Amino acid sequence: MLIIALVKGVPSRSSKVVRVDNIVQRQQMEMIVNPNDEKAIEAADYLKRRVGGKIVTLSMGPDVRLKPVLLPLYSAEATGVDEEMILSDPRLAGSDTVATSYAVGLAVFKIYEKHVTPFDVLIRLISDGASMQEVEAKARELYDQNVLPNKVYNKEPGDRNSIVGHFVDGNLSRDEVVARLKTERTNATKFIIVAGIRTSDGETGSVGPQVAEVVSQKMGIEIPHATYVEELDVDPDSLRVHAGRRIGRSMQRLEMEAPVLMTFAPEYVPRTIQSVDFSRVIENYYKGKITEPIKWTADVLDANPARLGFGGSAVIVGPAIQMEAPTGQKTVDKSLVFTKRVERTTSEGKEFGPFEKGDTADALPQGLKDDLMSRGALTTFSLKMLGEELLA
Amino acid sequence: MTTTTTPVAPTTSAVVALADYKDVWVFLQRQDRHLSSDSLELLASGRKVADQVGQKLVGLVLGSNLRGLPEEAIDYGADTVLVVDDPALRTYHTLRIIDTVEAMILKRKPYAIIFLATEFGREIAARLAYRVNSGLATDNVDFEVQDYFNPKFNEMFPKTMTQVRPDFGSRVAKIWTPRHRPQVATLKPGSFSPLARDANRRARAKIEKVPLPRPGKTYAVTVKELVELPKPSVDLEHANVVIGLGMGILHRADGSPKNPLEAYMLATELKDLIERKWGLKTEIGASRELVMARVKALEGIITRDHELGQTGTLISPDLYIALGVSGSAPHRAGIRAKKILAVNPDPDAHIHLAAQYSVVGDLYEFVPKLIDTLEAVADKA
Repeated sequence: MLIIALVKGVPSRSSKVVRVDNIVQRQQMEMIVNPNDEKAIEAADYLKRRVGGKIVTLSMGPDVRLKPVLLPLYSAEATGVDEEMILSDPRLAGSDTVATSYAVGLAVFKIYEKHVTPFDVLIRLISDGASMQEVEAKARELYDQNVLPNKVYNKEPGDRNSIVGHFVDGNLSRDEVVARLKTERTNATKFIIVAGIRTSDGETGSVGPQVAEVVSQKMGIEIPHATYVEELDVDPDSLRVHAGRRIGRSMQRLEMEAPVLMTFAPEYVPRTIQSVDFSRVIENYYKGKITEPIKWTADVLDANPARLGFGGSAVIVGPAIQMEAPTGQKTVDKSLVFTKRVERTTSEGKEFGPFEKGDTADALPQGLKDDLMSRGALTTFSLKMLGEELLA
Repeated sequence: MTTTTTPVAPTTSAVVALADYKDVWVFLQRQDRHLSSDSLELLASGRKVADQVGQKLVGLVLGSNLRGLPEEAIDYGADTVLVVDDPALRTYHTLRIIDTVEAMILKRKPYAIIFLATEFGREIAARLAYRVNSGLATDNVDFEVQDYFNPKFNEMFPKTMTQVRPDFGSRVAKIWTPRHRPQVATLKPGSFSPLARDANRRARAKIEKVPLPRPGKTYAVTVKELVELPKPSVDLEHANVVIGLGMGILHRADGSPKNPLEAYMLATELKDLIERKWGLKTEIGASRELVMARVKALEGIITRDHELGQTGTLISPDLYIALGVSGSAPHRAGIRAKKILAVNPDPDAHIHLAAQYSVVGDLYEFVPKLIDTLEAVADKA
């Protein structure tokens, strides 16, 4: 089973936000894997242990910055990630959620295509009457590229327990091989996309459902999505996905046909696998890990350039404004408050007041505060005063 | 999915004929037999936009067995209610609902559509925005309709919705969707107050029943069940005073570790005092972060039932005492207290931005002193 995990590099919480022309300059900020994505990796790992297959992560952003944060994922949990794709292109800068989802969704489609076309190549070769040597050479080549599972080809010496192996040994006819490859091709189309519920920098939580929509439109089918997933299981035979998620005070339990996209809530904890068919899991594994992240530019996407990056974005973000504490906030041992009622007063040509006992004077000009202080009208807000006001 | 686009004058960068899109839609959600309280806030936000743009406010009520809900929507601000009442919509089937709203949008072309920033509202808004080829602004706290000039397109976009949302913590950003329609947004619960209920509005309002589009369509997803979770063991919802514990209880202000059970004991002491001397129902809650951390010392004491904030129990007490709570945006969104007392050694903690009373200091020093002070205040009274 192909499992595609969307992973985002985000600025670490301690990092200062750098912007140029109001575009966040992620390359200038310390980067970490989006904390919510860890649950997606755990879910991917669970699926891989349960059914077999491979985990491919997909990230978008400057590859130089992303590589160091993505590398540790190869050894994450028990089985870890098998391949990492980084979509890195200046043309993608300034993307809003729609433009991001468009690029990510097309890249997901490319990953899917990469794992399905090998079946088509083999089926065509065999149907066209290619020799067993040719078929085996092609299968080995694709296997070495990590795009065919052990079940289809396995080049361990003496191990003929694969579809192509049986064919080469004469155990399967051409028609039988084609039929079995077609079945495996169908299984390969049942991939699963996993992601975190939202990123810690954008916090929109929109990209997951939108990617499901982009991939749906690209494939011409309707891929279901489920967000905030807390419970997950998959039937290794039918590849049907069972997911539970909270909606308000209810738990909704879904059954979905893959392909499917899910985002995982922090509450998600992988189930304990009681028993597993190891031979099936191993048959579904691929050759191994490609431990150097692969960089893709927007060129591989066959995208409409008008829909990428800032130009393809529908929303425009204005400058950020610092939020202020509520007026009248009182800080214990710091705020100055009135000790008595003070009538309307003028300071430097402006009018202030009237003030009631207990009102804060923090926002008043310094000159006025000094004046009020000298008249004994102000005092520091104390714990005792807090105690008197709190439950009054 | 493509929208049918009307030819657009070449002088504009807009992707659709903006003037064709009219009325402000709000996607309402129910809680048992009524509209949810968040939905009443949503109506208030939509009313503001509709009035500013000079158009109608349209409430969408989708589901099954919706008796009374459309009238409620009108009482709280809607001019028109579009009702899709069908058993197929009973179980929060996301794709079914997206299909339904999409069909309505393509037919009627609204100026804007606003959802609640709940688990459910978010995913519908996101996927739908992509389907109808528009943009999305999430978690807004305010809306304002203004003429918007964009220097990049060198173009004035008349009567555009300015969407205000939190940005990187303690700041807010303004967001526009000038070239696309409808403008799709989500509203952060707690940002608006519901309008006063006015049953007289019904005389001028209209309720329109809309059939379910493509009723025979099958989906690759089935809702197997929708089960109500047991009521939380802690009645945070009806408490007059809520004491919230956050990750800050794991440390002293100087960063040295502390057994968080001590903070819980202090909170309990404070709770008992307030209940005994003031007779106010008081409960202890916790931030999502603390609940999720599954701290060993608090096992069975702080559970998911205690969770405050957007994904936990929404509270509206008279007083919220936040102990060691950082006050992330989702946390604050779930708190509608009349007064907040924030105790956190970090002066930049966001909770201080929401608090009427702020204590920059160590809760382990402060709470015992507060207890003594309150004892003295109560004895004097």
